Amino acid sequence: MKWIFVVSLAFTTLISCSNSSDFETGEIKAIKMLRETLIAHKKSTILLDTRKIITRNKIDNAKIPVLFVELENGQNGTLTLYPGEGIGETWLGADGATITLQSGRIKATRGMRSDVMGSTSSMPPWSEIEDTSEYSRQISYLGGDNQTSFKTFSCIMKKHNKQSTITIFDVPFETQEFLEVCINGTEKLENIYFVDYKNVVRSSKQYHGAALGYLTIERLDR
Amino acid sequence: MSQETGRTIRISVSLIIVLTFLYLPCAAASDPQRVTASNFGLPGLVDLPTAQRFPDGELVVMQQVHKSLARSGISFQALPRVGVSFRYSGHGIDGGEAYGRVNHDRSFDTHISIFDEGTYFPAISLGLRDFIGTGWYSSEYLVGTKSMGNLELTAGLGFGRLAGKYSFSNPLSSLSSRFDKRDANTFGRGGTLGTINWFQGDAAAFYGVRYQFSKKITISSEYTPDRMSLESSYLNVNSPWNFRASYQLNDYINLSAQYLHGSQVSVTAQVSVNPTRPPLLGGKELAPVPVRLRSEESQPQIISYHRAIRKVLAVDGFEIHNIAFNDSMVSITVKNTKFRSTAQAVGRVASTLQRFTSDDIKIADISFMSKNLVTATYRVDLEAVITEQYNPKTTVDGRSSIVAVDINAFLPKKNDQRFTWGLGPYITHRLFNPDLPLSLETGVELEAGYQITPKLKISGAVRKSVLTNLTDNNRRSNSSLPRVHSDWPLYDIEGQSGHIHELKLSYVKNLAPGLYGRAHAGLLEPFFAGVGGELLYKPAQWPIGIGIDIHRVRKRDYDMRFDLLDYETTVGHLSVYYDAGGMFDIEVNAGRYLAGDWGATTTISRKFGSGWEVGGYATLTDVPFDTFGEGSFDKAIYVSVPIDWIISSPTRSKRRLTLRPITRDGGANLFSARKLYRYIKKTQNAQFQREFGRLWR
Repeated sequence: MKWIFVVSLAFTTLISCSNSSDFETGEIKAIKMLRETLIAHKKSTILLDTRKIITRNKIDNAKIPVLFVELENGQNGTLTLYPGEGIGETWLGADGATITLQSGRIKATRGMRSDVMGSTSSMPPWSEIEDTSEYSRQISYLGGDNQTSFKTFSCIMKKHNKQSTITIFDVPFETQEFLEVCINGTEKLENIYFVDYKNVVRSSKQYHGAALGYLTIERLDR
Repeated sequence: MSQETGRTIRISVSLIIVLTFLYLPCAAASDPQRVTASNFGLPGLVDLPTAQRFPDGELVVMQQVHKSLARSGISFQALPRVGVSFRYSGHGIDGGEAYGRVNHDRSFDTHISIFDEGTYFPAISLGLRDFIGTGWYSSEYLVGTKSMGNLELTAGLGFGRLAGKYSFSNPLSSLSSRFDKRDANTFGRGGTLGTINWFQGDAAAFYGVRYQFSKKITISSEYTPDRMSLESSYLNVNSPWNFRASYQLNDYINLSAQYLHGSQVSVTAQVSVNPTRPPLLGGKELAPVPVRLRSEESQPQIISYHRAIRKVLAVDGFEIHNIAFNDSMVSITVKNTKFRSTAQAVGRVASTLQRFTSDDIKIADISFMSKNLVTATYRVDLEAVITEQYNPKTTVDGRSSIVAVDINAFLPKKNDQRFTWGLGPYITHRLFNPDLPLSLETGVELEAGYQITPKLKISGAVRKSVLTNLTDNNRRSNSSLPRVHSDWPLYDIEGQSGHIHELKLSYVKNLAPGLYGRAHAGLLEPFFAGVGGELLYKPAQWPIGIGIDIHRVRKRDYDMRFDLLDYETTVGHLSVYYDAGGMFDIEVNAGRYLAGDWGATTTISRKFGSGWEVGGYATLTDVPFDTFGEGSFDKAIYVSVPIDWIISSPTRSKRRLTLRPITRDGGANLFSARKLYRYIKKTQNAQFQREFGRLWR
């Protein structure tokens, strides 16, 4: 007789359910959570390489601003500009994560791992940087105890002497290369920016944080 | 050489080793290394302590096993310099208790770090072992540890059990004659401090060494003066030297093998976690809505987008109970079904309202609803938050753009979902019964509820056990008090054929700003039926809440169906809750308990911004310790773990583990007596401040 109950329990465990979050026992919640995590884990193993999917034609036909972001592990995707006027430009990805840029530099991210919660800098506008510019930059992260921590860097932005031509999805862009070196104690960041004549950062490699490392960011629309 | 001369030499050598080691400058710089726990759960070599300390908040769960010992323990770095440990050990072989043990013993230790290791000086700590209860391991120590590269040396002075071999007169005697002799332990029924004989009597030196071969492998050796007299009847003690090799499997698990006392092989597994160090820092999740600019230079927004607000909040797991626009203000009442962090939930609703309401709307009141109560309200300055989303502050200050306020709560007129139900497994356990140290039951639970009016609800739960060993327990209550809780073995057995866990009519209401009320009647919990209620006054900005509860109850029959037994009583408590958003919160409940005894329960818990909570409570009443029975008074420790800490995705689930000795009758109260503070505390200002960094996540 007992095995019937054991089978019943196993079945109940698998189908544990309710029609209200108020009425879920701790066990039901735990099982649901584990089930969802397992499903999410399976889904996350499928990575699409956006470079193989989108073409210059598709980018041009979209007629909207498009941003390409690639992580160090090769995971990449495109983001579109969030409408309206906000602090900087916020770009929204298909996975629901956002990246906010100010003057083409990472201002904040949300929904990515170990987000940049905010970033401030006294860097002058791109057009005003003659040769080098020194300034400070503060980046904030969220710690494991849900407290904001700040890192303050001393930075130098160095403008290269000659113009660079970069190609983004078959289209060449005339740009000026900038190298940003930021130091905080033993930590050193090196960001590279390619800025076009409209002061739009066409391509960059920027430090995000310890978890994700450097992001490659490209502005795809013309 | 005479025996006396030899003894003097050994004492002198021991003292020289200790003192030289403690005070001799050592120029070698130490590398930061992982602090390992001893078999007693706190920083140590094999069985002996070191002077190191765990990182603040570190939680270590351990299990050691050898032929004559099974020791389970949990240790917690409660304060940056104070670690505590609780252990449950089964000693011996061929004994009369469960698993053939001679006895089962609970013990508490504390380890206090006095100085951290410097370039030239060792770390210094002192500690008390088994200072509450029967004192099986009763001992104290003063210890120093110095690292030199991968080598770590430890030496110390032991007292009590650690002053066995080659002991000498107590150096502290020069300070006071009270240290000359150690008073004998008297512990009564256990569970109390007993005789305070700390650091009294003879002392002995101990020492040891630890070498880190690689990041994962360490070896340790120690000399212990402990004669192991209490274990000598079943354990061969051939040597004072213990050896250990340990392997750090990953960031959390440490496995070690030891050779103890020259005769015994032992293995230990330890799992270390830290509430401030989640496995995945910041998981992937939907980003919040970015706020929009609201200035003369920016594009004006003249209407509020109601549908957009509803859609975005629905995607973020908020059920909207009410939304109202009034001049320059929007008031919204939501039920948060997704985010454990109230700060994050406030941020999500605030950014959505900021973006999709018109420029005329300057202020938003965001109220959270739970269990049919409005549990907290936050007032948001929609213009001030514009610069804060991507430029977060570190703390809430007086000029904050988001503040907790008291308002007249919105009263819902109808419920969309009147009938609720849930079906799933349940797990219940009982611990520390010497005849059955761990007993478990799992089965099927069906819960259902019907909302008669927005504030009045009938709900119940039935349970049927499937797998259990609760019924294997042969222990029966021998309590001389009214058997209000100690009859649990009878309930465990009689309830096997299926029982009504609870069936009650309950009413909750926001009576006034900051004032909450609740009443309920029926089969309130497995052991008791009755009628009662509670009131709680907790203004939003106060760190203190005051509550009162009173119940008239009658004991339920052991089969936990509808019949009642004769025992009837009135219980009631006055409660004070304190939580200022810092490290600790404190709760004191004073009043009358189920057995008719009067007293107070004090609960202290350490709270973390990550949602972890580690705490304990103790109840002292006018029942004498001898009358109470084993353990002397009711007490427990608990750990509450938020599931989002584990998976790094938003979920409101938490799992709570309570370690509570066998339930007795003194200081026993209704489990359902006080609920209001538990309903509201997750959304209160203190918790908001504790997790403030998550506001704009």
